[in-house]
Amino acid sequence: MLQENLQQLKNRALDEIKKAGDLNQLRDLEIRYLGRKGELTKILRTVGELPAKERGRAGDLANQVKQALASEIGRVKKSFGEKGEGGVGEKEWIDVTASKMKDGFGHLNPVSTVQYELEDVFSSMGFMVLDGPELESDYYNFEALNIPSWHPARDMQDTFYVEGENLLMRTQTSAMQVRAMEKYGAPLRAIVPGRCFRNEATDARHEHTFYQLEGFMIDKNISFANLKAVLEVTAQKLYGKDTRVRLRPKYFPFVEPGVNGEVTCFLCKGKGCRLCKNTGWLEIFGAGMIHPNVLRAGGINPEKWSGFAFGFGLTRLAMLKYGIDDVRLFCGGDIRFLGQF
Amino acid sequence: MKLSLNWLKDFVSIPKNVTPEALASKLMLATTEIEGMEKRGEVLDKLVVGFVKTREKHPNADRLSVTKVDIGGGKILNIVCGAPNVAAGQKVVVALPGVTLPNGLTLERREVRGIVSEGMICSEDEIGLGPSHSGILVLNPAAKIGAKVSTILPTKDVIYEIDNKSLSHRSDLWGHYGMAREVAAILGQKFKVYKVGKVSKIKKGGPNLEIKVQNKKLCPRYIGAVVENIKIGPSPAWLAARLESVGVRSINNIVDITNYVMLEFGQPLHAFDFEKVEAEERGKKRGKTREIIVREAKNGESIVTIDGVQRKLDSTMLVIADALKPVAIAGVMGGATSEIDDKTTSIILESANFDFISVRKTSMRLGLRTEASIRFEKGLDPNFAEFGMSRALELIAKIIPEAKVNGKIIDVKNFKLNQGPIKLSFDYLNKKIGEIIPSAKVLSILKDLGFEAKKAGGVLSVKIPTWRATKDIGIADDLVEEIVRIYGYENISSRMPEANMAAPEENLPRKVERVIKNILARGLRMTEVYNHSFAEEKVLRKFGFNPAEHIKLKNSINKNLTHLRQSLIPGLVVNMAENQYFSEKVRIFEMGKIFFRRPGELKKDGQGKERLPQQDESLAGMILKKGNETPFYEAKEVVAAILDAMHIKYGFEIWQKDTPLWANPARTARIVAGGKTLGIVTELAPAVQQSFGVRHRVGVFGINLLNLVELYSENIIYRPIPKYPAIELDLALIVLRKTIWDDVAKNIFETEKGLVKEVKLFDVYEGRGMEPGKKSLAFRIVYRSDERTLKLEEAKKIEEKIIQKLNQKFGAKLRA
Repeated sequence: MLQENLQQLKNRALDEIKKAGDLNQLRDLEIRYLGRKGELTKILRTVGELPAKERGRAGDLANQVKQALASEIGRVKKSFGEKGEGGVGEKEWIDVTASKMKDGFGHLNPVSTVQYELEDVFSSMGFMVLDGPELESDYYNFEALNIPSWHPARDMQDTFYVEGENLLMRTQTSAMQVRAMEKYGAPLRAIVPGRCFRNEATDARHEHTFYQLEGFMIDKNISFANLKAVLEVTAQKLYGKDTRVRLRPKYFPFVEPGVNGEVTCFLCKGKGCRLCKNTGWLEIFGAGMIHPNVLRAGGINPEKWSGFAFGFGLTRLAMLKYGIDDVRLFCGGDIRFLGQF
Repeated sequence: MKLSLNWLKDFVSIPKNVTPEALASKLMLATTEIEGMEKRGEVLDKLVVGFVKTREKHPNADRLSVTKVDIGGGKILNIVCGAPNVAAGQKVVVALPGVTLPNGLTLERREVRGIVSEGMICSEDEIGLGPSHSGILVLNPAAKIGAKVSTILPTKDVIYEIDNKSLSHRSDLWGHYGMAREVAAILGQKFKVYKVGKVSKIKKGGPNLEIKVQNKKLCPRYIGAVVENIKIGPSPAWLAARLESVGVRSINNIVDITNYVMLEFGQPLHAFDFEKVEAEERGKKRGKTREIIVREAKNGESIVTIDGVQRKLDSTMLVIADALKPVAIAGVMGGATSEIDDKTTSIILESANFDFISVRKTSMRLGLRTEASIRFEKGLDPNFAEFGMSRALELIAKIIPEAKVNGKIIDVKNFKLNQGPIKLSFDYLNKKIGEIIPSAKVLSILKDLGFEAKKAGGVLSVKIPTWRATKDIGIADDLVEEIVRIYGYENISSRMPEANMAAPEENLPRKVERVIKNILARGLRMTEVYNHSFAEEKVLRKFGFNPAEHIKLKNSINKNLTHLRQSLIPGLVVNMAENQYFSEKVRIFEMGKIFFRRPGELKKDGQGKERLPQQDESLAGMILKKGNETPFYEAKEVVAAILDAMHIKYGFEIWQKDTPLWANPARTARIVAGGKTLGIVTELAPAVQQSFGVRHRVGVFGINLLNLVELYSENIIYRPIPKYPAIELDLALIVLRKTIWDDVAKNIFETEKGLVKEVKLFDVYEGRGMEPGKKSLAFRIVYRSDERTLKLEEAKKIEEKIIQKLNQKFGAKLRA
């Protein structure tokens, strides 16, 4: 009898709760069934009057009904909170698709970003980060690098000379090699990122001002195999683990042997595409074993020490990385360009 | 430089399984940069020999002909032809519809002025065999009708385009002969060595030649010969075709022969017209003896070179002269007066060697680079001169059979090459490469490249071949390269270096620069620009800079780049002017080097007596926002944020006298820290702003990074967090417009030193509702005791005192 009553009450109450139109109705229902004088409360009170052996079962059942109603009221109440009129949802509502005029954030030049990425790679391998004068002497930029004044290799580089004797805008960050050797001696591990200059007319592919990163390592028993490994690690850091490096002979007077380093094109993974001109390879590095004359110029005994050096164009890396097709943008100061990085 | 595969094959046989592509790739990996590859004559397989049966004038066009052409198999085509030389009875090259010619044209059957044309009769250039477009190519009458043209014109070739720069150290590779040796070494094929031939036809008693080399250092070798009975005429087709295949225009038989020899051995030759070389006395010009004198030019001498340009010579230049005057600039270009022409009957043939530095300097001084000079300046083997003379005489004998060498060939030589031997130990080699290359392989590589290597124990004694001994190979490391490049870089396994672990020494300036850049970009919403290190004189003047105090560029090819910058400001102003059209607010900064005339700290060379000009890393930024009339404060805020982040104590001082001309003198503050001027905060002077068309006020800051780095410290000492609560009270006072906030703040602090902890200005107002000449300052004072909880009444009392004091000092009144 009691059980039947309970069941009926449960069904009726649940039905009414579901149909409740607003929070007020819900509150009324809560009082009517679960309040101190509520219908269910009344029934619960009668449980004590039952014979002892029925008491337990009836009590359990009554409690189950109570929980079911309470949980349903909670659920409906919450749903009112989200969408119901007069609920929290109403007071708190905002248009989340609208936004105020952006203050935005600032941007680093993409070359700086690429440079810092590489500085971190090389610092982690124990390389110092050096810089040097952009207005350099003929001695450090050429002579000390085994490029005497008559050398045809000077043709490769159109140089900005400045007034004063034997002064020029450095054409390569390699100019820091001998300065670093003089200052730190051997062993030595350093990179030199920085600005370089070539006296040439500008167009989408040529800029008289560009950035390079030079690196060198001098120690006992440094070999060509070591150079290859460091170039591979660098390329893989830049372009992913599958990247391969290909070396080809290339003449630089300050290294012997001298090579050109290419990496598998990151866009087509070496299959050949527009970026790599269908070769599958992108030319990235110049490198080699430091020429004994250069070591000597830096006061380092080539019988005792050997070293490798490499260099690459940071500007070129940034162009490749971001698909930039006009080199003039880097030094152009246009915020529509810079704001993309 | 262009290389012909057919020509290479004169000296090395290339196995069938090595495709032209594979050869290019092997050369790329072992020797030189290849910029392009072009297959010539492929189309010849698709063209057929035709026989012109009839030719009639086109009824509707004066210049066209209508022909019937038999192409074999009973097929007779109707072809409209525009060439003036087409005639019945000719064997011609016919392209049928569907064939694509090298120029990209795909043929189709079409009507030409009302008459159907079923193909095309081709000219030389249309099928990629040469430059001639003067008419159709007429074949040998023996050609079989209907045959593929490729069977009778064996002109299929592959032309490689070599990057000259990649050969700047290899004088031996400037001709097909040397390159063939490389190919042989790479492919492991036999190289056909050229042997100097005997000159057969020598006539005696003819005109005589004397060679006087006055400067033996600059002319290590001069070989000269007189050749008579020359008949100048067009070259045979094979010779012209070869030259043209590598992009050299055929001129006449003698010029072509000299060019051919140069392209083969890399040895430039020159031919003088014997009759035009003057003997000692003008009257005896037709006398039998001619003198060739190799000497320095005399100051004031000049020569008209064969390109028709008059060139002034000086004593640094080496010339070839006759008894009276220079007739050629040694190793660069011949003179016009002794140039051979159609009437030339005897020549003086020169095959010489000149000092590479001298040729290079002369060529640079004259601004004249020639095929000859670019070869000589690489340092040619003097032995090539002998090859050159021998080969040229062979070709003359072949092409002009009646020609005869007169008298003997004169060879004046004064050279000694350092052929080593170089000692190279296997230990050194293997250590340098980081891999053990089998000694047999090492020996065979050296041998293939022409080195003579003798092995004694673990050491090789290597004799350098003459063609590598001029300056290319001199030390053991050079041999290492030779071995490893032929062995193959791809065959070297990479291995990371083994070195003692060491933390890299910190470069503090760079570190600080990077921290600041990140604060500026990420925290302060500033965008980093790079501007050029150069300045333009005109612009410098606009900023009130004196160009004479700036370092000048000597040889800039851009007339806008005249000086080196001494300030980042001009570049940034230009950026502002350009960017204002794209955005209502622009916040940019630059960090970069500026250059001064005074000597700095870095030494100029290994001696260290002289110093490089001073060059400092500088930082500057600019801020513009439409409607903001005091962007000064925004710039100041940026500076304060940087210095706060760096934990540097600083202050701003009013800067009135001697402000930079580009700065607004009424709105300029000096940034001071550690007793030094660290930089400037200002606004752009209205005149400068206007002259660059910048529409809004621009806040500016500039910081000397060197001084900042000196002050930068990472020593931060913790201060305990206050135990007792603070009381914050706001005040708004009306003061005279020119009252200085720093003075006000100082007075507030001094009123109750221990308890006033902070004074923060949050608003300055003048304008509507404010008495003219007055302004309102609104600020917050933080009161706190370090020993107890301060009561509100106490704070109020202090505030009362402050108001009184400010009233006394500044006439400040509470704002109602």
